Amino acid sequence: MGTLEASGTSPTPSTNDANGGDPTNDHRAFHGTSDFNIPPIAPNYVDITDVFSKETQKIKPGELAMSETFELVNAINALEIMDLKMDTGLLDMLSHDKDFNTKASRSARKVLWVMDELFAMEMSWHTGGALSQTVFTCLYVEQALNNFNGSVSSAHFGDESNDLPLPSEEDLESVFVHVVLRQFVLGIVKTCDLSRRRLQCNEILEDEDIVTQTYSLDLLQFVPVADICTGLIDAISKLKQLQTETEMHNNPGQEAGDFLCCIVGFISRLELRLLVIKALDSADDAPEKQIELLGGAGDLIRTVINTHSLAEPLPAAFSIAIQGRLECGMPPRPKVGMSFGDAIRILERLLSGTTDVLRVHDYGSLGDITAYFEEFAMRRPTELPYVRCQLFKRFLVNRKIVGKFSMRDAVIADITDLCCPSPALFAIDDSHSCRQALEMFLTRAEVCFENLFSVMCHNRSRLRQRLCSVILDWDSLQVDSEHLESNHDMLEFSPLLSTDQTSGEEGLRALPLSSWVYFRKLQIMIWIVFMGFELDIYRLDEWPLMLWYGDYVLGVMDSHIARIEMVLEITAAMPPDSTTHSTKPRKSKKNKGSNAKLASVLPTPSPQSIMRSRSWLAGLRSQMAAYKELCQGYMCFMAALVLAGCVRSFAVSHLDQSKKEFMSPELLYKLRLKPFSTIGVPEVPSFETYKRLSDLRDWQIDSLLDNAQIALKNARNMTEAWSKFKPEQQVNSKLVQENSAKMRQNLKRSCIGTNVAISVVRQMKLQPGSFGKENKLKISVQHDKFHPFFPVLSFSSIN
Amino acid sequence: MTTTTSTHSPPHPEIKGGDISRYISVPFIVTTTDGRQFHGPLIGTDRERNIILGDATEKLPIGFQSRRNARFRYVGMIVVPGKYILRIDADSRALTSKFLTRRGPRQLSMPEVI
Repeated sequence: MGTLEASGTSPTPSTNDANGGDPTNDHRAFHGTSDFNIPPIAPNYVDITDVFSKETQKIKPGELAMSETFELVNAINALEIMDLKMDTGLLDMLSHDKDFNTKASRSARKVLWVMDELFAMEMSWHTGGALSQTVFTCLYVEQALNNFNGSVSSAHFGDESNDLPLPSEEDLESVFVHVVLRQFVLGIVKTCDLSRRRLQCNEILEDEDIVTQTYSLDLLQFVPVADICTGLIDAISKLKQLQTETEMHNNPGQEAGDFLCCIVGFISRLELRLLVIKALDSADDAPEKQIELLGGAGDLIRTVINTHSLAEPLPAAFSIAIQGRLECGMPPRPKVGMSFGDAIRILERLLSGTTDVLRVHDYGSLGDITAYFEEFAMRRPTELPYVRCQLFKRFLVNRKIVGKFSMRDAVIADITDLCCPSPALFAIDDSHSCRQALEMFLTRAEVCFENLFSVMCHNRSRLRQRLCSVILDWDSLQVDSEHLESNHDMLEFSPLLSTDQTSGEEGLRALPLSSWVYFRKLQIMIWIVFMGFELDIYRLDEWPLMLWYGDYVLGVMDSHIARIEMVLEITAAMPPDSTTHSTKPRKSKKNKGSNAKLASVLPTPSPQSIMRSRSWLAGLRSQMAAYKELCQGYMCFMAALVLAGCVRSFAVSHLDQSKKEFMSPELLYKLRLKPFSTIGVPEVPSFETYKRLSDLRDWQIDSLLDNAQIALKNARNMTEAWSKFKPEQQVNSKLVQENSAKMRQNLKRSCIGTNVAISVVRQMKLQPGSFGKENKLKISVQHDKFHPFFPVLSFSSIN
Repeated sequence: MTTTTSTHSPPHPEIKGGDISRYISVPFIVTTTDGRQFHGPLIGTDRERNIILGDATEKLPIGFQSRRNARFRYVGMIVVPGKYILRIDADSRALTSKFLTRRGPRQLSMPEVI
């Protein structure tokens, strides 16, 4: 049996991308079974090769004899043996990585390279590569973990657990491998272990954000952090001694100088590793301690960067054939590498992100923390998984916000910031008939609010998807709140306020609880709509529809905020000790007396609280106004493009008759607005309404472009006015001032960028139907430097 | 019980021929041309002798130098193409007991259940 196949015909060679840079042979060069002995078969097994072959001949071509329980879905995950694209064991059989000797001494430069490459692998893991494609590809890591039997001294690069290689002090190169590299490898493994444990939380999604599977390898789980740190410290002190000795000898020449730099490089890498482990181990400690610890990283990173150029490659130290040796039911996957520069940037992002999330402890009010989360979720690029999980763990400590406040406090603070209800509302006692109902409402509100913080730590795409299900909870909460507040006994907290426009029995009621729920729900709806632009979910022909719907929801939000503002304005205008509110005459005679009594003692919120709420609402209104104006500018621009034929009209049926049935505009409309279709209010407008309002028959391209530019100019002015808000006017902005200012800058850039795009289009002197099938215009969406919700279009013609 | 047309060969106490269905779920050891062995119950097969094993473990050939610690490695559900099969062994005990109950589970009638 010299050939690979039993039947004699040779297999077709497959181009194998899974190899990467790994020295694995083409499997046709395989020697066959003559070199190896087949393992003995257990005595209770009998050879049925011929019998079985005869039986299979009786199966008809195309038929499969299979177990009753076997289903096609199971077959999808089945691995095909002897196919290099699926068979990891074959990868192992063919690889030459067994020739690599982890016991051998290596030069300082090569060890330096291995350390940097391993560090880059670790950063690769943090950004989504599986351990089998990153850290585990290092043969030193594999050898150490294979030898590991529970005690840290067994995790070495020798052949067997007991055969600990003892580096001789004279042979520096063996010291570099068995002391320096070994401690570094153990440090990396322990860092992965500590990170991995923290990353297994609800906010970080397996396979989407990070792959935590270890394929049954023990990442030194039960080895105390102190032992790893001791090893690193010992290695550092040995190196420092060596450094001193080398400096004393003062040998001239480039080589000696480089050697010294390598020593310095080793020291900085080990020290950085020690710092990272300590930071991970103390991730729940007091913020000041963490900040102090992480502050020392900057200098170490600089030294690491400066010494990187000395590294000499040793690619044989890494191999993807490891995948053939792990308990892994996956097909071979390529090594997921990263350049050293990128890895350093990832590390810097990790460290700065970890430091940044500690700022939640620096809150002035609970509203500051909520604002911080909103800003954090919108950052680009999205924060790394470790940073996101760290934020939530810092936020909710022992089921309390920053270890101090209950979620109930946060809910009440949020309601108070927005609507400034009477202080008596949350102070009602058991004697009040609605006490229990209010309690139930607040409990439900706590769950919804906490869920919001949790989803804001997801990756951006998953965040949008989760928000689509979250608004259903808030909608149902709104129904509860309205039911609660319309209860007779709760109306006393929302007395009828007369406005200039109302008379007699009409008036405005505060309804703080429903107002708050509705506000948060609308905010989520706005996020869902505009995140679609950010994440490139909408096709270009869907932009007019989504801008139109976004404008609609922004309008509803604007009216809602205006209503709350009016209530506060009236409340503020009332004399401080005023207790006479005009209430509707009670129909029930039973409570007449007590109602009059209660109305006379309803406390009003303090002027400072009202002022605070009004400032916050003013800020929100400015934001909504700027967004709305920008939205309208974009709508006019898109309408002009549709008229010119650059963008297909959404409301017109698809030209391809075969697709007409399942791509009718009405169906696409319903699909796109599906997340909002079950919401009670604001109701999704009907397709006919949309069609009627988006009719462009009476419009000219030039007038649309004019309107667009006017709207964009207004939006820019509004953004500038919003930017001029003084810090004391900006409520709940203590933690987000700098980043909010950047976001407003980006919004201005979106206005300017789109204005420029309109000017470009104007120069084309478009006419209706300018662009047909022959003459296409290439439109691409630019996100960089612009506000995430308002990317800018750029144009180039295709001739 | 399988989904193919079965040949109704008469029941025979020796393991010599017979319906393919008797091999389903029997523990197999499939040796491939490179000397590896795969242990697992037979899930399915076809005319070309392609074998599907469920919950398979892989065993390396003797004398093969690998960095691997353990000789056995779990691989899950696998398909071994017929052209790479050197040898097939089956657990004789499982085969015999299956053979004796070849006609499969009896249809239970209601009085028997109660």
